[in-house]
Amino acid sequence: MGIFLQQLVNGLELGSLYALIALGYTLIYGILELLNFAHGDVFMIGAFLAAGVAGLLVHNEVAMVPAVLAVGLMLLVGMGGAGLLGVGIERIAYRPLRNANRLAPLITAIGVSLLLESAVQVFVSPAPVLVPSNALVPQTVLHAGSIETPLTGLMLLVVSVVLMIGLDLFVFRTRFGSAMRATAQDREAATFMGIDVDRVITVTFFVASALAGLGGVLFGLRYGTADFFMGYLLGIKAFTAAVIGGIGNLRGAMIGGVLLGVLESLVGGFISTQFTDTFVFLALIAVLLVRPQGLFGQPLTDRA
Amino acid sequence: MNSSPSPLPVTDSSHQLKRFWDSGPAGWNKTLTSPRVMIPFFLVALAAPLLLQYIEDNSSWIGAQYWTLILATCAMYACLAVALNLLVGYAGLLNLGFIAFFGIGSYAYALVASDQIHQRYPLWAALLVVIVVTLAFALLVGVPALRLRGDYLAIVTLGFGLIMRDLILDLDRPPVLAGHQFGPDGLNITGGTNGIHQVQAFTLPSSLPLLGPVPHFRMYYWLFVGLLALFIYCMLRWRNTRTGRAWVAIRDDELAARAMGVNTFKYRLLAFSISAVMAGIVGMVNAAQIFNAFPSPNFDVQTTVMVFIMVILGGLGSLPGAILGAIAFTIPPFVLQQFVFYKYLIISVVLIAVMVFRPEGLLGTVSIRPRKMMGGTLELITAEAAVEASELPTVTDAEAADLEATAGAIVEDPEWKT
Amino acid sequence: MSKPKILVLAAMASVGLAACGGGSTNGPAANKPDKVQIAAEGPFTGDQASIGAGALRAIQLAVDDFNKAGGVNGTQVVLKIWDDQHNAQTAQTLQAQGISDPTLLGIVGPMNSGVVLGSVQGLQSASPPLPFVSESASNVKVTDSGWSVAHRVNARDDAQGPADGKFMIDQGAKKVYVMDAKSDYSTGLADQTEAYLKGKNIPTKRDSVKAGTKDFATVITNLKAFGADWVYFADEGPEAAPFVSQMKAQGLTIGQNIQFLGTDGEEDASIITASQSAYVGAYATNITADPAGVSGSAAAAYVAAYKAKYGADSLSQAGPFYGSAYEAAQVLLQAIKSSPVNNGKISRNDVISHLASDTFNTVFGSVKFDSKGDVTGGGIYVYQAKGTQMVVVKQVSG
Repeated sequence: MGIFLQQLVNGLELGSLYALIALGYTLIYGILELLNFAHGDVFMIGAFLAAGVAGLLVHNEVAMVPAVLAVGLMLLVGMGGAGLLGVGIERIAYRPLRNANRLAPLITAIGVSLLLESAVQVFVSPAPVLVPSNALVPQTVLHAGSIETPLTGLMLLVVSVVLMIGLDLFVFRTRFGSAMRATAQDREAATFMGIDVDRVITVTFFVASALAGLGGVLFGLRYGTADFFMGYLLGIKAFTAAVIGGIGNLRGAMIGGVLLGVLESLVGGFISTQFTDTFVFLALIAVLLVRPQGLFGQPLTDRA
Repeated sequence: MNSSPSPLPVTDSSHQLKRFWDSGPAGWNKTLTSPRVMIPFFLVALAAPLLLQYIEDNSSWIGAQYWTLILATCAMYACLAVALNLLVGYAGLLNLGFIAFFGIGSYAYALVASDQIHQRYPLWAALLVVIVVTLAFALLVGVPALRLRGDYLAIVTLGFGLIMRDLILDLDRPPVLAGHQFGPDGLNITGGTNGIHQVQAFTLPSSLPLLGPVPHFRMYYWLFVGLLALFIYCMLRWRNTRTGRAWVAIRDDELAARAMGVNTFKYRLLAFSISAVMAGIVGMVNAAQIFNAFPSPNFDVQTTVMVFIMVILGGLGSLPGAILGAIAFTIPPFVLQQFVFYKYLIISVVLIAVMVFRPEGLLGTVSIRPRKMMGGTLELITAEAAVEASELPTVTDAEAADLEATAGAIVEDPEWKT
Repeated sequence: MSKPKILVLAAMASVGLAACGGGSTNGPAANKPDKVQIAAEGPFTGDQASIGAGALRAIQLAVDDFNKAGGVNGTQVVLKIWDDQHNAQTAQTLQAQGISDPTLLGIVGPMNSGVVLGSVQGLQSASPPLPFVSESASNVKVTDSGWSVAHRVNARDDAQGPADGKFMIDQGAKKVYVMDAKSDYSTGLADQTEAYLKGKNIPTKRDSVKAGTKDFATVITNLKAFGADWVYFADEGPEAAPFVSQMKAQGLTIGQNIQFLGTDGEEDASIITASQSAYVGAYATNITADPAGVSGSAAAAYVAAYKAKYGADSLSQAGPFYGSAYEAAQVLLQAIKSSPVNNGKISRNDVISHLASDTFNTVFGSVKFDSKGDVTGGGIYVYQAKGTQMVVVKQVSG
């Protein structure tokens, strides 16, 4: 039982990371019906930005400024930088294709993803980069009975939950959130209602990318490392989570992310660490076949 | 069948060139896929290694083998691009796990042509195995997945590709699930990260009449060129059949196609399966050529992306475009060895640029440009679209009546029964 | 442009300039070959650049030293660089450049067992066959399969595995969690080690992590549940740092409540920094010696020369094979030099027969291949992470 709970806790922490990134996927899909394959790489850029800031502020495993300040700066740069990157990508690569055949932005997104990965590989580092987390965050290990977890893991979980709630409030309780939902529902009609669709899309991209960037910063603090390829598999899995939860549905993304993390941990703990990815994708396929709209999505109309 | 007017007889070659240029992408494609261009092209392609060998024998240059190998890789990717073109360019389906079928073909062949599982089959049996196995996987994935919308199909096929990659890497030992071992100790099906080594090449004559002894690398170049010719021939024939027209109809407007009684699911499955089997056969020849079946690049998503970009740069729906795309992305990396480091960077920039500025690629006939949605008439009939329409085989009145009569029914395609 | 590339260009330029002063083809100096080339092959960029880069520098230094000492009877050796990026298919393409060139007489490398196994067929079936001397390929099949072109100066998996197992048992291991990183090299090695431990009735649990994995929480939980006191992790290196950091984050501190034994790729001081010192106290074995830790004037002189050429702190980035790469290059070059010159040409067949029969003089002493292509008397060296360095603590043999 103890092991089960431990793996469950591992899964919740992993899942909260997936959920954070899945939220971004689902936001963008809801607004543009675009699978933004580059989203996982925005997460990676966030982590690298954080690593860069940390590298400047930490020397020989000692922080030159108060740790809280350093972490705050990392968050600012990581989230802000990622957000701006997302906006830039939308402007340059997706906006020109907004009314084109569905294939077009999808393929472009793949191109953007590849571009980000290779750019970091070539211009920053092909090898993993250190994030000196020891100097910035206390490395205590928390105990509860037989369950152990690092403080940073719990931090990841808590921050993710807080942000998810915040986003939920933003989208469902504010005027701008209504504008977002309106645009997601029917872009043409939203324009008729006086909504500046371009602005809504820009802000959505900023928020989604900033969330991914936040995930990157937290990841760096938790695992102490970043490399150019980290966004790839994580992005695919977060995206899987979004689809399982119901793409376009915020709560679905959160729950899908957590569920996926738990599934992965339990499979890894009790079945096999080799086939965790296989099970994850089988779960995806199963959900898509049985309930294509995902767990919380609206039933799809039969559109071509 | 095609109703374009025959050109005025011209004697002036520069005039001919101008007519060619003016005919636009649709016209270029038609000219480039006509026998009077294709046949010389393939003859030159076949003669190339002999020419290279001649140069090597009569000068101090050494590079015939190396360059033949490069051309063989180019031909191989051209085959893959044609197969993907069928899927994406003709039928409009996004298969992000495409390369998995190439890999499956290569491993299926390797398993029956090496000591991995102690089976060695003659060439014809091996070919049958490859086709059956690839087809089985295509149906396994396609039947459930092709009922889904485009983006979902993309995700599912991506997932399939990743699962296959994992399985290939993990089945080098008996799988242990929940503490139970499935299979005897020492079970090693796929060779894990190493792949399968010492794969036997095809048993082919090592010398041909008139040509003398044919070294391994040259033989496989010819095999790939031959396969490319076969694929292109099939594609050209198909385009004018009911199946081909159905594919184009589905790609352009699925709802309308369904309304016209086209069984979209069946045709999608057909396109999916055929392109998968094509890729599998290419994989088989590759495994025999390099004596190995490797997990990477045979199952890497980056390879799928590479083939995608070849198809897109060349132009969706265009066969010569697929060949051009393959050439553009296989030869420069070899020539510019020092830029290999930047390879994916350059590729991704080119892909984005093409998509943003000229989504139809160099020779594309599929218009995926943004269409104006509001503020006036829908600009469906652009000049390009008009040429497209004239380039597509037209439906005769008899066929239109035929379609109407069978609207809503399960449509049997007699041509396919052969 | 990166430093190694500049150095490569400089080396090649200097060799080229020197070669310009070479002799004629029709002269009375019948022992002087027209042109001699060798190739260095390995993962010089890409995910294993950390082991490849240092080896490449070592090979370049070896060629320079050989050329300064007169080359092959006056002809300077040209070094071609084949960066296979740990990919057998890329290797095949690169090798195709050299196979039909009769002046390319041998390869130092390939470094990865999987690359060797995936490309050797082309090398063996070339006419004449193209021999190679590897500095790091350890899979047993490389020399067990009877290929005349195959040679290596490092120890094999079936020597290293039992040696690793024996080391752990000698240190008091009771329960070992055996892991690999699902790669050509690590899986074969971990198999050997596990078999040895099982043979000595030590309970083991086998697991693998995929290359590129970042989150090891699940695996570490399993590890703790198994109750292991030793973790054996065969890996090329990139996974070690995050793995040990997370072990520490989950309460397992090396040296206190867990012991760690890694393999060649983890005999790397940069892991200590990358893991923020969680790696301190870990052991790692290497199938080749680190010249800096070996007594003997030849080795010391080599280390000094390496530092002189590449910088005082270059050793920390030299990777685990900078010694064996130099050794392998020396072997190949000496075999070429001993081969007869006919009409200004040296035949690869002669190089192969000299590789098989001669005794060579290297920085690690004298080297002779057995009938399979392995060196007799290779040792396994155990290092430990202390402070910011990897320090030799023991030499064991299997």
